Amino acid sequence: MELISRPFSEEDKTRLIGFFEKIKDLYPDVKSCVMPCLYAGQELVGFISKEVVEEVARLTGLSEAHVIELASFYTMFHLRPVGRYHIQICRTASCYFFGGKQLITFLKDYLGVDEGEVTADGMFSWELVECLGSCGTAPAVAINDRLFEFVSKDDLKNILDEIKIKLPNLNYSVFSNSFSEDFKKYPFSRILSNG
Amino acid sequence: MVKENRLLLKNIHYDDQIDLLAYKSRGGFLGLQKALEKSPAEVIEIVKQSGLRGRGGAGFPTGMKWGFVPSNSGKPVYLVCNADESEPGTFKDRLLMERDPFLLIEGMMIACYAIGSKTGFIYIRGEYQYSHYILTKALQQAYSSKILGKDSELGIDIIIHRGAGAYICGEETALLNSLEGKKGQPRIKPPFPAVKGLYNCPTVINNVETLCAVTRIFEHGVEEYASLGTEKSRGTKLFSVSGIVNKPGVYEVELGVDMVEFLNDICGGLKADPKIVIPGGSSVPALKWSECDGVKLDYESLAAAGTMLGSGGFMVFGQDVSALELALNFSKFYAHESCGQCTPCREGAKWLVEILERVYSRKSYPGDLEKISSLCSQIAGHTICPFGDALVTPILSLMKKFPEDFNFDSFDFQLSSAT
Ligand SMILES: Cc1cc2nc3c(=O)[nH]c(=O)nc-3n(C[C@H](O)[C@H](O)[C@H](O)COP(=O)(O)O)c2cc1C
Ligand code: SF4
Ligand code: FES
Repeated sequence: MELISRPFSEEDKTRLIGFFEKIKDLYPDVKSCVMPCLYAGQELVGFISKEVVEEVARLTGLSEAHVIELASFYTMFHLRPVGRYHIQICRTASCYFFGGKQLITFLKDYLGVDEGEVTADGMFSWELVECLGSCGTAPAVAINDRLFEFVSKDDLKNILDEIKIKLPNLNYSVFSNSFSEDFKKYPFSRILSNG
Repeated sequence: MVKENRLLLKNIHYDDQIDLLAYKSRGGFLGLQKALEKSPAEVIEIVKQSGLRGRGGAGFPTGMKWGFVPSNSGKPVYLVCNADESEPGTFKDRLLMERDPFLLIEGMMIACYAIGSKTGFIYIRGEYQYSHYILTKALQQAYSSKILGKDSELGIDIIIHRGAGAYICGEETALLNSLEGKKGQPRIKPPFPAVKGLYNCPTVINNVETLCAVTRIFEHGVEEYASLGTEKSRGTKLFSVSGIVNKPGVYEVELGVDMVEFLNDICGGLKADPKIVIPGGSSVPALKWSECDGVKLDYESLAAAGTMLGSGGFMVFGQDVSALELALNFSKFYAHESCGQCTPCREGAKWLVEILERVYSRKSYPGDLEKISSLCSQIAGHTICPFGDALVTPILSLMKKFPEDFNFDSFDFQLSSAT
């Protein structure tokens, strides 16, 4: 797989190294830091660039080939840029048969791009994902690191329209282990809403 | 009228779940305190007496698993909490972690004490960012109050580690590989993790719900816990219920309650005419609604009905869902999630999707259905991990029970070695 180059800023590189230094003693073996570091790199750059691979390999002592293999094995790592908002629609049974199918059709239409492609303005991309652990609050959609539950077609349209205007931060930062205050009117979890 | 018995879930409605003092005021850490009055060997004995079986899917007796850890290997011992919860239809561990994180932390501390471990890992699926957030907050408090950490009384560390989107990492040895920084692919067993697990050291892997149950066993006493459920299936079990029930959600019942009563009395009844019931996550055989009468929700009764308790991912589908489309949906899941190291699983899963697609779009070739059954028998039992069996199970059971949905009238295919 051809890696895409996106040179680090000095600041980002320092942050990645600082992150590694902070976590490395948690594990008996520094190789265990590879996934956390990939998350950190992806948060800084937006995807797993050539430079992220090189730096993570250097820090963990793993080969670059190994790091690339991991980044391709785990679906949450992206080896090419995704949209600023990456939409993940659950396609597994308890969502699919209870509204998920309609969401997929709607989203394709709304964005006008196929699965895996990025809209021309770089704002959105989407993919089908497997069970998100929200089958009781189906259908479920995740946008970046935020989960949305009981999502109707109208809900999804409203959420996306609102994203376009407000540009909320929907990421879960691995540096601070926190979410931003944006979009708080949408609950982080609705798992208690039933039952 | 069956009712819930909220033992693990008794405190999930409090909104101060990440406040350590609030947890203590509700009886938190009483279980640990009582466990510490016993020797580690006695703690293991008590867990054996409780009858607790692993809640991650395989149902292995927990006390026995702990007893396999050699006491004098000279190596560190690790506890790993399996919080990878990715089995379609399952979301109970998420509820426990989001709503009562200290319950899990306490259970892990008891387990660490019993098996002589100073380090516990929580491997949590990457998509559970919010659960990770809650657990991280709770862990920070446990550290700052010196309940955890090298300079705490027990000297136990708990480290939380995120997966990144791979169902197979829920399989325990794949999880260990992933945690070690390798590709999440299952290992050949033996050696078993109890002897050679994480970093080649003795390791116990337990599900979130299992460890939460451990806390309650000590808090309430083993007699009380063991008196719940049936003779062979002791205690309570969480079910994640989805589909056409009026009130989907997570419910905790004593093992052995009647399935139909459970749906009517606890899950608010059904919204529509039911057709297919899958009681334990996508990897267990599907039941026809007509087969559900009299079936109890416990390991033995579900086995007698030809299915399994599995993860307790309970899905109910109505008459509008075609068994073929459901089989196709599940087969795509497995094809996507195969780790790829065994040829029958990797290639077989893809072919199954292809053939089912053909059947679904009514462009099947003669012999396609026989091909499915022969493919399935080439996969099941011929792979490194149970994923191969899991992948054929829903397809075979749906084909066998709903042949009319697969566009053919009589389907006399044999389950052969495939089950
Ligand atoms: C394909 C596959 C996926 C699994 N996924 C999970 C999972 O997500 N969570 C879990 O606890 N166990 C899962 N298991 C079971 C684990 O391998 C293991 O048996 C379990 O974590 C042991 O804990 P327990 O004894 O407390 O149940 C899975 C097994 C297989 C074969
Ligand atoms: S059965 Fe499938 S998932 Fe399991 S080890 Fe083999 S290829 Fe991987
Ligand atoms: S099936 Fe969609 S969240 Fe489980």
